[in-house]
Amino acid sequence: MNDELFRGGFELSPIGMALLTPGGEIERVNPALARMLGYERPESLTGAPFESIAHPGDLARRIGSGNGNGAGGPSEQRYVARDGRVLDVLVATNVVRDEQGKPAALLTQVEDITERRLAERRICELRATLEQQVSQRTSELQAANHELEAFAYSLAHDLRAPLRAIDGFGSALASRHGDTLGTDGQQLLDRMRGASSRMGDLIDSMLLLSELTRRELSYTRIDLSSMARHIAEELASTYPSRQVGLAIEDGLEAYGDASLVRILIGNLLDNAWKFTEHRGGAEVEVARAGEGVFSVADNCAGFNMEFADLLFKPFARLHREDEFPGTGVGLTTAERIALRHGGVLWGEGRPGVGATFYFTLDPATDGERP
Amino acid sequence: MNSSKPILLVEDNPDDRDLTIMALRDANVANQIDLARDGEEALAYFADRSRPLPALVLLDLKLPKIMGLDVLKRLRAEERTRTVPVVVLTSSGEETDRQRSYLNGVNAYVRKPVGFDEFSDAVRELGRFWLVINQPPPLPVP
Repeated sequence: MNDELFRGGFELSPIGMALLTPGGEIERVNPALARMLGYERPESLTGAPFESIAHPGDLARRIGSGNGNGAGGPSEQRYVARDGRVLDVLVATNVVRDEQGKPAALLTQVEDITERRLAERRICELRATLEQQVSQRTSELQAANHELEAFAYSLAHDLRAPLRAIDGFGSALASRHGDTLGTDGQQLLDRMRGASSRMGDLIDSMLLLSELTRRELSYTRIDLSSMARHIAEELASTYPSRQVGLAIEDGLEAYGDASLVRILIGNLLDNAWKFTEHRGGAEVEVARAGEGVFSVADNCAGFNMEFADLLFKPFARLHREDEFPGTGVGLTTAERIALRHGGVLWGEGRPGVGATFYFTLDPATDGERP
Repeated sequence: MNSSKPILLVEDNPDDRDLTIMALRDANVANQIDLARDGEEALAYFADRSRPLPALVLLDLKLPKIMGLDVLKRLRAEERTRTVPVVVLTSSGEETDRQRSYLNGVNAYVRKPVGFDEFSDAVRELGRFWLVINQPPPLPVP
């Protein structure tokens, strides 16, 4: 080996290096190793036994333990610095042989990996804490979810039963004691029964809303045009007095859960129909408004865009109950159905001019508002 | 359209019990309506072999002591009661309740509507089908 070249590399290397006698005594260390161990001058270590820098706990497996050549690595070991700090190091040792092939020296290269190990340990600790936090949050969420489900179930069972009693006994009162009640009494009774039936509707629509988040979607290809036509026919027979001009574009198709999409379109059409009440020449249109974007438009009551956010809040209403009756859950339900499919639903309106609601059912068309 | 055999109504809520009886009487579908106020009473009713089997069981799901679904399972497991028509009459519209009821051999599942008029219609239809229509054909006159 070219001595000068070796010496230059030894002195300038950023890697810690030591030359040991075959017996394990330090012959020389380079400045990088001296710095690593906290010595100002490399000469300070010359002549010291290798054991003096090795961690006592690692002595059994230290390099140069007299196993014949002492070569090996790279392996992880611990060194002790001058001030007692324990260093994690990566060590590789070569045997330097003389002309006869007998070991003349051991060349040890040392890389300080203390910081890296520390960072790794921190990452491990963090990961453990994180996993613990995630599982804690998950179980908290699950508990909250179970509570909500129990709440919905209780709504279904326990709140509906008294309503049935109010309506049922009201009906019995009307039929058995109608004469005594008189016209006024009968009317009051009718209003009580009407109220219980509206509350029943409210409970049912809340239940539907809560079911939407739980239920699994079963996807099929849906003919939206014929679905809309069926719903419109039902609406026409529910409100026979309304004269509504209806235009449904042909060939509207989507991919989604048919029974949920039916509720979505049903709610939008029902809304449009409802707001035709105080108006002649009402028109409702179902059409394609872009690639994968569908719209349901009417030319009736409309709404102020300032309050558009309120539309999708459950039980929030933009019109007085005596103007247009309703539960205030229809649009929330429709929006949630679109969201469950990965789509979106939004509305545009002008008071007295009309309202248009747009929806998509496909995440790919998300946000492409015309 | 009367049936000589009784209807058994299994219902714990006294309001619901009276409403169902009112609806059955309005529909004029049964002479006799027997009552069980929880699952245990329902099973005791069937354990008494001196009693004729009812023409129809109207079964609530949420019952004290023994739940409706367990009453249904027991009835379907017994040879004697295996074919007694059982209709679940419940507040619950939960899909799981509906599925479990049918998986355990219920004949029909009816969710009690809030409005009495609709409820009355439903009970009338049930009575008409299970007590009148779904009967063996009359024996041929020799």
